[in-house]
Amino acid sequence: MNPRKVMIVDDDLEFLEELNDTLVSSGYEVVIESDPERVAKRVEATRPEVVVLDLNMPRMSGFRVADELARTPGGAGVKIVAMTGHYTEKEHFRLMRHLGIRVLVKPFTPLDVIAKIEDFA
Amino acid sequence: MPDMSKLFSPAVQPSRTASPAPTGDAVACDRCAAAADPRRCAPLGASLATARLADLGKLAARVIHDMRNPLTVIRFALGNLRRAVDLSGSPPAERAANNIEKKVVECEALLASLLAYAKMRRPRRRRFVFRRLVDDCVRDAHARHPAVVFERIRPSGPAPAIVADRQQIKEVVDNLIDNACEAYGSSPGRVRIACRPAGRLIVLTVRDEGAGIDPAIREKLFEPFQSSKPGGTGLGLAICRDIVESHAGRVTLKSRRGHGTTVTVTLPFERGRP
Repeated sequence: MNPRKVMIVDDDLEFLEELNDTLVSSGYEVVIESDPERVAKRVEATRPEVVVLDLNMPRMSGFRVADELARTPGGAGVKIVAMTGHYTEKEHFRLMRHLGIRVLVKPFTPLDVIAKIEDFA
Repeated sequence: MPDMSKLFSPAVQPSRTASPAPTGDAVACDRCAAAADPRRCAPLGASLATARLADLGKLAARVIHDMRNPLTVIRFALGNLRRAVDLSGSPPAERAANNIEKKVVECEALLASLLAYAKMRRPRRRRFVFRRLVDDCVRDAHARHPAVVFERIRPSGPAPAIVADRQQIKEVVDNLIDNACEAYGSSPGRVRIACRPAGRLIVLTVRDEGAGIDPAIREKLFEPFQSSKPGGTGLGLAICRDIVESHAGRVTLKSRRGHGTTVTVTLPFERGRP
């Protein structure tokens, strides 16, 4: 079954707005969060199937968010799509694949995001 | 699950790999920083200049990554704008939207080239048959440049193997072939590609019969941001030069107005010191 509820996590508010509009217009129910420290609680409260997560955020990186989600009862089964322009070494990809994280490397298009989310179907 | 935040510490961030700093007097040189080429400062002592260049490379990589974020927002915002408003009824608005999109794509391509230059990695050397790599490059170039006729010149005898980074050397050969093809613009033309062994070296030449290169910029073509092509980033030949020199090789260019251009790459068969 295709994922329908998606949470976007990014500290860039304009990007949150635009990706939110893109995904809503494609039929997804979207939750947005700009504070990485609140993600685990929001995931427990809203139960998205997929979290589209920026890896490079201040205070708390996307990796720490993913780590925290894995330790949270409501977050353990959530699928993660990581957005990154920084972590593009082979070792990074290998580890993320091992952890079941799908990766979107910048620059990407709206269709790329949707394709990654649908990968989890 | 392991603590991923430690595994992805800034220490493993990719960055441009600087050449080993030579020993000698360290003298700061503004010309070197401006030209981004420590070799020009070798007589003054290049260790500080090399370290400074490595820092600039890291800084550039960071800025390039950061520039991609606003470009991504612009791209998404444009898509949303197109969905929200029917631009087809207003040719000026449609043209403006198309131009924004085109320029975003150009900026992303420029950033990708800059990043490739800033992040130049050390060669990962393996043994491979150089002639087969050139054959692959020519085959790929057929698809990119259908109007160009490619002439492969092969010497008789066994095809020698070299020890080099195949991916990097392919980037060089692809780039030289693309440059030769682009010398004809959109017109048909002929590109000759030859490789031959010469003692302990292998010599590749890529020749076009296009308009040739203006002597005023010929000398600077291997420096970053120098281009003879409209819209060129001026990084292609700089990247080629860095790759070839990191393999202890040499790249030279000869050109005559109205007669075309020949680029020659010389590489050692075995691993050499740059």
